[in-house]
Order: sequence, then C-alpha cells, then structure tokens
Amino acid sequence: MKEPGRIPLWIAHRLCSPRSVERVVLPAVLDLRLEWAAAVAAGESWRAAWIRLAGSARIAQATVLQSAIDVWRRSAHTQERRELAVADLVVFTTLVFVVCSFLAWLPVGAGGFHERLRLADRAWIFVCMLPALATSFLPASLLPGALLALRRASGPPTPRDRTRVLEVSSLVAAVVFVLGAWVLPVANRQVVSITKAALGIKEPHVPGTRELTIGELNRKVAELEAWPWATTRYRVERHKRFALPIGALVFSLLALGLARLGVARTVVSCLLLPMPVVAGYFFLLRVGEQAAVQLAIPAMLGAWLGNATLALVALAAFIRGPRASSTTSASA
Amino acid sequence: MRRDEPPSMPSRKEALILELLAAGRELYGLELVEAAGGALKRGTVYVTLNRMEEKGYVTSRLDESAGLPGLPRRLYKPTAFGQRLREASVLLSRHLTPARAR
Repeated sequence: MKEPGRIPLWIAHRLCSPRSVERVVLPAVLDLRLEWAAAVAAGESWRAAWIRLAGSARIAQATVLQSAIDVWRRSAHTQERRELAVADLVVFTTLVFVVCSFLAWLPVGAGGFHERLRLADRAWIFVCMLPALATSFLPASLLPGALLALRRASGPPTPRDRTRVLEVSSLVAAVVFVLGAWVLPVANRQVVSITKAALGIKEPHVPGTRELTIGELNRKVAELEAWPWATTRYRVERHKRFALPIGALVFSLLALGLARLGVARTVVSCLLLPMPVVAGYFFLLRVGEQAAVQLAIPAMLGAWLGNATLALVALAAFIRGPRASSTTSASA
Repeated sequence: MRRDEPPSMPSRKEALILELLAAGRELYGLELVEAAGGALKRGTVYVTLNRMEEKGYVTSRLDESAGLPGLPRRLYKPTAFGQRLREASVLLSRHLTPARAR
C-alpha cells in the first residue's frame, strides 16, 4: 500500500516555494502518515482510508493558502523593485472572463423557450457561449488589467513594463484570433441548432456570417464576386475576425499611454476609466459594421473603426505623456 | 520580519499559539492543535506557524528523534520578541480595553 500524501506533496512542490513546502506542507504530510500508519497497524482499513482522504484535503488547504501567500509576496516584492506585476494583469483578465462566463447563463434562462430545453442542452449552450464572451471580453479586460498592473509604479512605464504588457496582450490576441477564426463559428452553429430544435423549427438553416469560419467566409466572397455589394457583410465579418484580436493590442497600447499620462493611479479609477472607453469601442464597432453593411463606408473601415479611434487616442497619449525614465529602467 | 516596519499586535490565532508555547515546552503543530481544543485547525496551523516564524514571533528546530525517517518533526518555541509581544497583548487586553470603555 502506498503512503498517503504523495500526490498533494507533488502538487505542493509545483505551487509553493521550497521553504514553504518544508515548513508548511511536509509537517502536514508527516502528521497524515503517522496517523494513517497507526490506523493501518490497528487493522482499521476504513479509518485509514478516511485519514488518507481528510489528510489530503487538509494538505490541499494548506498548499492553496501558502501558495496564495507566496504569490502575493512575490508580487509585492516585484513591485517594490518597480517591475510590472503581470500577475495582476493576468488575474484580472481571467477574473473578468470567469464573471462573464457566469453571466452567460442569463440568456439561457431568459429566452422564454428555456423550459423546452433539456438541462444538457442548456449546459451545452453555456459552453458554446464561452468563445463569444472570450472574443469580446478578453481584449477589453486588458485595458483595466494593464492599468491596474501599472498603477503602483511611480512615473511612466519602463521599457520592461511595456514589453510585459505587450507579451500578455499578444498572448490574448493569439487566443482570441484562434477562438474567433475557428471555434466561435462552430459554437454559434451549435447554439442555433439547439435553439431551433427546441422551438421546433424545421426549415433548412442558412448559416449567418458569424457561423462561418475564415475559410468559409473567403469562399463566400469568391462565390459572390460578380455582386460586390452582396459580399460586403462577409468582408466586414472577415475583417472583424482580425480586428478583435488586434483590439487586444490596441487596448494595451492605450493602457500604456494612459499610464504615461498618470491619469489612473487608484484602483477605482483603473476600473471606472475603462468603462466608457470599452463601451465606446463596442459602439464604434457596431456602428461601423452597420454603416459598412449599408455600403455607407468601406468594409475595412467599418470593422476597424473602433481600433483606429482607440489607436489614435493611444498615440495622442504617448505624444503628450512624459518619456520613460532610462535610469529606473536600467535599475529594474 | 522586516525591520523597517513597526511590530503589529499578534492576531487571535497567533496570540493563542504564543499562549500555548509560553509554558516553556517545545511543541509541534499537531500538539498545538490538540492543546487548543478546536481553536486551531490542522489545515491552517502550519501556515500560521510559518508566518509567525517569518515575523520573528517563534523559532523552530527539527527533532530528528521523532517522526518518520526523512520526515523529522519540527518543534516550535517562542522567541524573546514573541514572549514580549504576548505579554504586551495580555496587558492590552487586561488594562487598555476597560480604560477605553470608560
């Protein structure tokens, strides 16, 4: 029979610092093993199993607590050295996504037809809505996330800060691109087919622009080449698939620009300031899309209107803001 | 503990641990849990002890004679700073609270 606590110890080694493992996790493992060995020696197999389970849960509790303390301490230590805490950025972005994921339940129950949906269908719709939420909210959450991460640094962001913000936003952009290009269309098709089945609609389904992958959009544009006006909505959608990931980079640039200006120094301002900016971005995206579909403006301009506007604001902030201090960056 | 920060008063759990260790005998985590009679939990006692050691309230050593091979027990005892902090905490709770209430 294998000794208990091996897996929790393995996990603790990967989550906590060596000192924390030695001082916090190992004593708990020792307690567990001694208690378990006593139960095994007494022939109480059920008690031994219970000790193994409860002890592992206690070690997990200690590991989570201690790893949170370790992360906090590393983050505080990093910021003392005036480096950017990327952890803030990533944690905030993930938090926004998790909150939005829970909000995804709302439409499932609010449509009026939800009573006709089986629980499995509701759960599947929820899963299928996650890519849609991710493509919208992940880029947008980079603005408050980056502002929060930069707020404690005194003075303008250093080149190192800029690099780290751009690294995280590039990662988010890549994820959003993959989701928007291939995952989102499939998920949207699933939602439509489940909904139509629940409503008893039998007519053959013509997929909308949001249910087409980039390859399918390209084929549609090629098919309708003889009627350029008919291709507009497909071309707008194709541009949007690239515009939203690039939006992640634009939001990060704007955050860096605003940090240079020093307009968001508190947590409240870091959270409140992005709200009108994000709302304005999605408003411009929607207006541009509608205007392009109605042939009022070119398809490209319609899809990129939000990004272009925010990029101009970011550029203005960079021009007006103070230059990054070379001495602080060198010391970091 | 960071030397540029003034010492803060111990939390309730920390004060309890200092109280249990004040008897003079070195204790390990599980003994503290048992002695506390439910006031300390096995899942958090080592986290608390680790923080107290970092703050300089307690000190620890490995007891090679007890435990399992390769996994010695860690025994804790209060430092002089921890003992003074406990006395200050007791004084505060005995004298200052009634004075404030007046």
